[in-house]
Amino acid sequence: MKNSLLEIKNASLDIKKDNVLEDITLKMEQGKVYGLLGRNGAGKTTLLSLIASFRKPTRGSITIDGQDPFENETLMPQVDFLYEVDYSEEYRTPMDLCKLTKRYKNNFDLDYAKTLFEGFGITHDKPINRMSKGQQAAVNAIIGLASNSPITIFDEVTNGMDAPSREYFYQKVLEANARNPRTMILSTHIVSEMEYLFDEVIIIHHGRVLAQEPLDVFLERGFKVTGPEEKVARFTHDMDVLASQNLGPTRSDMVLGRMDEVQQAEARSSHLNISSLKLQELFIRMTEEKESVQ
Amino acid sequence: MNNKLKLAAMDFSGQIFKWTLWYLPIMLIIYILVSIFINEQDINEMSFYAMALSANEIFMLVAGILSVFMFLELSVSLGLTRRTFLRAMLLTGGIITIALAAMTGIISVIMNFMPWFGGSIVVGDLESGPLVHILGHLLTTFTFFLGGFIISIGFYRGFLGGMISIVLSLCILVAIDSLWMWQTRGTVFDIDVTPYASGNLFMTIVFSLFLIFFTVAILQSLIRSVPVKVK
Repeated sequence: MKNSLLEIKNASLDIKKDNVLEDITLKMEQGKVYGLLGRNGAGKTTLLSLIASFRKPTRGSITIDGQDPFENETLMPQVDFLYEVDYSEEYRTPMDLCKLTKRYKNNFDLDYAKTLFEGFGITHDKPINRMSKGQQAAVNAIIGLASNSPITIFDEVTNGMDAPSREYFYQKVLEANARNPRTMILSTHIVSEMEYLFDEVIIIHHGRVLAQEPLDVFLERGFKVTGPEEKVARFTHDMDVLASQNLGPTRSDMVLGRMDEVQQAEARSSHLNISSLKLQELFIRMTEEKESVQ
Repeated sequence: MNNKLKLAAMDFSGQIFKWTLWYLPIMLIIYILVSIFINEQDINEMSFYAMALSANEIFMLVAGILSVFMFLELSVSLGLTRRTFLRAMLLTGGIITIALAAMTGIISVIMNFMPWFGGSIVVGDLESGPLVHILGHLLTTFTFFLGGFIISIGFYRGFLGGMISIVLSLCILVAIDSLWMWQTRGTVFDIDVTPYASGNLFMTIVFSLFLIFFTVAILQSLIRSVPVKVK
């Protein structure tokens, strides 16, 4: 069993009169990739900034291997927080930034960073402010991947990247974690593309944790029933239906919950097609602004 | 001194030193133009050092004001604690204060060899001696940097904090400036106080150091748990 590395216990954050995060409890282990999902303004970046010691929780605690990382000289360099930065005034080159990071973070692998620059197809000797938004995002991604920090946080780091760059980044996330197991947290809105990277999913909504589960367990929270409209309606009559779609005589219902054996047999006898939900579908339905869903 | 502190102090000093390489030539051009085109005895006799004194203080005030906005987020991203950041900035302020005074002095000496430029510092200052004058200048300039730093952290925390920090900073800067004006020129707010009292060098240094420690204590309390803003 792997050691628990990062623990957040009942952490809350108030900013002025706003209660931005409330009673967050999470546990993250080394070697796993965590997908942090949430609607805009849910508190994802704020939660990540607590982990990276950019902020201190108002209540509760955050520990890395049992110690509070805030203002801890040993633990703070162990966390790398990469987020969208305004580089309009950044005259240094990506290589300058990599060398600067290397000075402060001993684990930073400069040769690997050079390989990643080639992989992303970007030059490392051009001032960053003269690069496109996608290239700047790639620079951030490279710094995070090459840092080899035990806790690496990517907050919407693929924003602005083109599809090939995103795909390359996803491959490298898996490779980097295989080479040097660490706790990786990926916060994203591109859920459908990144789903396969996640070992566990964390959903945050209105500043509270809605779920933290292994991806396969999470996906078992719901299912999709497809078939003739009348049969589907009868089958899902007493179930917690998240959404319905009709295409001619065919109806597809997204249902929250698990089927028991009787229901499975009924679905088979009615020739209904049962499939699992996609992470994105489940995420959208769970965070829709409907009282019944919450 | 730990390794990270040394690195940070070197990196911050290097960055601010680059700004001085813009600032000093601009000051030099202004000095040359003023010396050539303005025909007033006081100005024509004034050295580059004398002219750059107040400007150096303002430069350090501005450097202090930029410090948090330029370096705090980067520092925490690189894994430095706020405490290390503060210490590195204090060292940087000291290094740049000395480097700026030295460069200003060297340029002044070189200019003094040319017949078109003056060599006087300030009449009053000659009485207190060059060492006292240099010490006063260094302590005052460093305090200006700290004053800027307070304004910077104040505004980083919020608008109201920024406005309060301006008032606080002004009080500190007026206090140290008055102390050394009294010590070196015998004036306070341009009023001649020599008939009533004369400055005591030891007490002036003690009060200056007290002001500096007081300012650092304020900075420490303001920066201890300051949230680093993202986006």
